[in-house]
Amino acid sequence: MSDLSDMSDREGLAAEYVLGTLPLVERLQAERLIASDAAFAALVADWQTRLAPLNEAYDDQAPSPDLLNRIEVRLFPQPAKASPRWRMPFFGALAAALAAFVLVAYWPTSPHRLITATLVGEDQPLVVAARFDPDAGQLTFTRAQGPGAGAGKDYELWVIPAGQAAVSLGVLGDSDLTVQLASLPPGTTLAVTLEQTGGSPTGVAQGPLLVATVIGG
Amino acid sequence: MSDPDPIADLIQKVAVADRAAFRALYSSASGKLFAIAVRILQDRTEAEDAVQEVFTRVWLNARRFDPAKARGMTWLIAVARNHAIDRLRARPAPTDGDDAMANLRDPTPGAEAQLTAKGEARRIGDCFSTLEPAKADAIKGAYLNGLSYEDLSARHDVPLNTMRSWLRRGLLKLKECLEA
Repeated sequence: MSDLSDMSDREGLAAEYVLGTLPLVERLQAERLIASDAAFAALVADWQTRLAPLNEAYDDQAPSPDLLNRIEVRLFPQPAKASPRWRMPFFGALAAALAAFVLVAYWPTSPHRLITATLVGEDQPLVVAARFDPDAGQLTFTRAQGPGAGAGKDYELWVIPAGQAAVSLGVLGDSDLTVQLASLPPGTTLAVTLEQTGGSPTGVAQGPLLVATVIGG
Repeated sequence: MSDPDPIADLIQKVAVADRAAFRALYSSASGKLFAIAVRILQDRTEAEDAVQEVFTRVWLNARRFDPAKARGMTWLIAVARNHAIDRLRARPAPTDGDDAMANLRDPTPGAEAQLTAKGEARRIGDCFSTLEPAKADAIKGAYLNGLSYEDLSARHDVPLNTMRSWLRRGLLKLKECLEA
């Protein structure tokens, strides 16, 4: 016998999220649960599979012929030919990705206080904490949450001063990474990409952007 | 899950930043994902923005795809539907008397009939036929067109909470039938 109580709130929420009927606030709550709660994410995946046969009712429709190009320009900006390698713009991908990212950064207003920021990405288990001590001129990164980069991979850290090209700070392993940095002004972006072991051989990010934050001010 | 799944193979290559695979994936899936975005958003320009965002997310999040848990196309469609519905829900609420949006999102006549076409689709079609027709239509309309509980309660002229528990019961019955 079907009864509302037969379907737990969590199962009901998962089904309703997949169905799509929820208002935005509840959808966003469900999306946060998917990111943080593997059991809930599994309920959602089950409903996606269950309702997937409905997808056959969707037809096919060609988007504008230039859409792929627009996507690629956004994700993979062409290197500027006259620039040294490290100046190759990493910005396009970053700007694109940032739009989809939840950014969390907080900072004290005094220039001589510690700056802390958290690098996060949407649907991304990796969380990297950054801590800048202006007196020591040291920027320290810690992998706060999430798995290691995996075999043959490394997390590579980048600093992107406002309006300038990305500069690699090195790769982040299980232990903290500390680099010398004179200042960390507002508008600076900190980002992590997934690269081959040892980091991108070209000095330009090649792998996907995982997490990022923009230092506020 | 052991059937060949070329889309899943492409997604796994995209996960290791294979741009050729990304192009192949776009070529295989963009038509379907765009059609979904158009159907839900009812606006070609916004649907193209949505598809652009969807492929950006696919590039960034392909590592999260698990071929043991879902077919490649099912995963892509979930990313596309979720994004399109989030966009739709983020729109300002229509003003009083503005039923145009709900009317626009009426199911395309005949589209659901295709569900009886084959395999899995026939199975879910059989299960839908065990539901009251109005309930089955509400579930299919919500899934395919992105109807909200508000849209549905207005259309069926029942309070929103009634619609919600009514639909949840329908979903549960559907689940029981599919798992029987």
